[in-house]
Amino acid sequence: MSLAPLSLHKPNYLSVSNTLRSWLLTTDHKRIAILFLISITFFFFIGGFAAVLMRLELMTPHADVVDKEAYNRLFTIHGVVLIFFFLVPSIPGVLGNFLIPIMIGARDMAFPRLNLASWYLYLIGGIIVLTSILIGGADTGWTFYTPYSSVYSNSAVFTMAVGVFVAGFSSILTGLNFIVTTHTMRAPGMTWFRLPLFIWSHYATALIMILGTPVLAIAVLMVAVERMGVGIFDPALGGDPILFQHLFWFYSHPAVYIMVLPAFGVISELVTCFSRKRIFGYTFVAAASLAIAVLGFLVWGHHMFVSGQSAYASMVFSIISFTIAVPSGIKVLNWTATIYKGRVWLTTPMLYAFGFIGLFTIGGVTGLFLAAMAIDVHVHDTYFVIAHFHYIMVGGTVMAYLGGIHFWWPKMTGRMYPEGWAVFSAILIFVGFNLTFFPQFLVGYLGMPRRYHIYPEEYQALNILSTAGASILGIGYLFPFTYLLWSLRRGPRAESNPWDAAGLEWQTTSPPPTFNFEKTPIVTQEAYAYELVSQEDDLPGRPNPTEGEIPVLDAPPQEDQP
Amino acid sequence: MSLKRLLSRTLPLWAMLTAPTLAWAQTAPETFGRPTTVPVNVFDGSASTDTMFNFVTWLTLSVLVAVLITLVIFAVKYRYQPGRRSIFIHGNNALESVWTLIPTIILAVIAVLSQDSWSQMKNPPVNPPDEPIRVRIIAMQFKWFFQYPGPDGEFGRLDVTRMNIKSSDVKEQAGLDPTDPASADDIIVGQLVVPKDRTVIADMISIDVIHSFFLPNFRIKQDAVPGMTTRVWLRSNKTSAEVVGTNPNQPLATYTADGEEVVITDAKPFDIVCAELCGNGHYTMRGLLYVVSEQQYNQFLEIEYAAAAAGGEDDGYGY
Ligand SMILES: [Cu+2]
Ligand SMILES: [Cu+2]
Repeated sequence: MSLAPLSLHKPNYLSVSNTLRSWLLTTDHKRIAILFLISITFFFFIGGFAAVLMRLELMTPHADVVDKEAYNRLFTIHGVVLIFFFLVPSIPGVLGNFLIPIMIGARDMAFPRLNLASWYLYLIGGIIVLTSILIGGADTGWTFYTPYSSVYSNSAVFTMAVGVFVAGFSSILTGLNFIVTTHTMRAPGMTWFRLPLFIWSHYATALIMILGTPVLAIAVLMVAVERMGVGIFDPALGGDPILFQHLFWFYSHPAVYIMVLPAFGVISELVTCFSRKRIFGYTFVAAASLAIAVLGFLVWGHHMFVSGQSAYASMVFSIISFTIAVPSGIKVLNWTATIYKGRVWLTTPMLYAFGFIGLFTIGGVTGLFLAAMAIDVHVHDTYFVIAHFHYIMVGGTVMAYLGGIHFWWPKMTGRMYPEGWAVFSAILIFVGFNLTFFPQFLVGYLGMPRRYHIYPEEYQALNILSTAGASILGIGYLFPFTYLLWSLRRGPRAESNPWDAAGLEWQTTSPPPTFNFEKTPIVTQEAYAYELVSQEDDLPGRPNPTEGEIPVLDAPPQEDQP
Repeated sequence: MSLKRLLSRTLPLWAMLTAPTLAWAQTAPETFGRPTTVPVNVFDGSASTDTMFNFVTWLTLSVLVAVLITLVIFAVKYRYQPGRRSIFIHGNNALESVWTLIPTIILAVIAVLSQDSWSQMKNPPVNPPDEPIRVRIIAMQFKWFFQYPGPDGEFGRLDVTRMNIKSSDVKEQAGLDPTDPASADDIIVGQLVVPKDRTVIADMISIDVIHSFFLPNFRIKQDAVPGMTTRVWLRSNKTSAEVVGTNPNQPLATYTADGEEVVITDAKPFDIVCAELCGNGHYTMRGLLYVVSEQQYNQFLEIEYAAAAAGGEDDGYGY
């Protein structure tokens, strides 16, 4: 049993080379993860800046910050950039790329070069979208509804659609890599039911990426083609505008699960580690991920109850939409049961996990209103819907992403972040988030439509609350950005397993060497074997590192990594 | 660092964050006194929608509160304490089945109830007490027009190629085909006028992009889609004056063939809101729905039909 940390003078994946070329031509999944981390952070701030301007505009019922043209472009930028260039690649691109090979005991992804190509496609798509913003931006909203987008809009829709199209291929390649890697690269002894739930949820995500993204690509490509005069969706040219909505939501509803399934995976890791417990009902949680991936493809019509689709189709979509609440509910209950009789260590990642469970539950139960057709008719295209999906996508995915970034930061960078500041900003983000989005449920039920920059005066009080919350949320996001950067140089050096966690990724050094493990690990335990992790330490304070005592892996010294 | 110390150390920061909030609140003090209430529902066909909404609200609120309280209790009760260990539980199939089955049953109940309120909203009563009123809703960037079929009960044909947005005559704006005999007695107006307690069946078309016909007071929303006809039905159990009051300065008036102004009512209208992004003027696409008494409705139509028969130009707006 030689699990002592690898000696620090050996090069890790970061120190092995520092030339620009070594970064831009890297095929190391960990370096690609860092490339994604940098680029999605950039796009996060672009999309966030658009949100700041929108919230400022909405502070009063009049147009005093931007005019109608600018406002329509702002919400389009906000949606397109944050969905396709932040949320979709966030957890898979950064944490998934970094952790999947390490968690299954592999030395890299199955297709390292495709992995790099996926980042380049993402970047090219991003540059095209930035270009479209610079040449005037699109004003169709991220939903690109035809025939407005394909015929009537007098804005840079074509360029933006091409950008989204290209970025879609990045997502497809990522999904392909995840699936093949999980099938073929698992270390000896890493059976399917020993896989961490992070892997299961990324596997389910990858299925959606591969099966759904091509349909989005087709839909936006057809919009681009129709802008060149070929009739597809415009009824004046013999087309059907509703067809676009079917194609768009066939991807874009499952895309919600592309964004939130990886978050489920992160939360399963955080809750087990900081409750010092095995996950409650492993098979149920894993199966729920797959059930969500499958059912997610059958509910897109719930976005179209008022679109003019058949009333009977709506009834079927409504029923299936209710069923998808069941696996999501199972997850929440299993996480709660995992905490039961655990030993809850309230670190920053665990705070984010608690925040996630609470906010995701709010987002989930408000989804029931939208699945019930008659209620949806009233709140459709109002701020109620805006609040609902921000609770899922920001309250859910962004919380989990930040929790995951804090949890694995020591592994990725070899440095600890400052816990006091991190706790403070987690609380700030939680408060700011709720103040921003909760009033939107109310103002939406009152009838305030989305995509209006001028609105009746009686809605102003709730809008002021929302804008005030957004300012707290915005400042809250700047803190982690600042102290995480600071920690890169000044943070205390991280041990290989600062959280005393059971996952395979904690058995290698922080940061890991280029090929992840000095010797191919042999797995003899299921994931979350926290009964085997020492509990002798006395908190508060960090638990004592106990590497020598964890028989999770058994690495025979003769088996050398080639 | 303890939370208390953390909060006290960062006091200036909290002050910094609340200051702008308070400043904003000062910019519109009257706003905070203004009552923001849910729009009164005047449509019997969506009464069950409100019942459902309240039911789902209470149900989900109790589930939510239960989950949140459990989380807080667990976080406190099972917090990291020296000497106390976590207890290992691998799962419990019976428990999993229970918390799969119970939500499934609850969801099935909501799903069934929502089918019922959906069909009430979608289907006008089979045997209405009297003949339903038929109107055609015409949506275009960025206004709503309403076509009444005239005494012959038939809608005249609309022809996109005849549309002339710059015309001062709404019939020409909407492209009503004068060669269609059914067109002769039709009127097209800029506000929807219907009587209280009568079933109205409205077929909806759009002549450019997708718009959405949203009546907050009726809990109704339906997209107007180019290339197809969609339908809503409505019936108001109150006049708009009873709900939103009156404004004598801006009454609903109409003009006889001789150009004489006749005031129908000083009621304020219900809002018609466009809920689907349709272009730069989307937010301006507000329509007016007057629900008036049967006599006022008949008077309105008589004058409009007489004016149409006289062949006068029609600006479509009563005021
Ligand atoms: Cu959806
Ligand atoms: Cu509109």
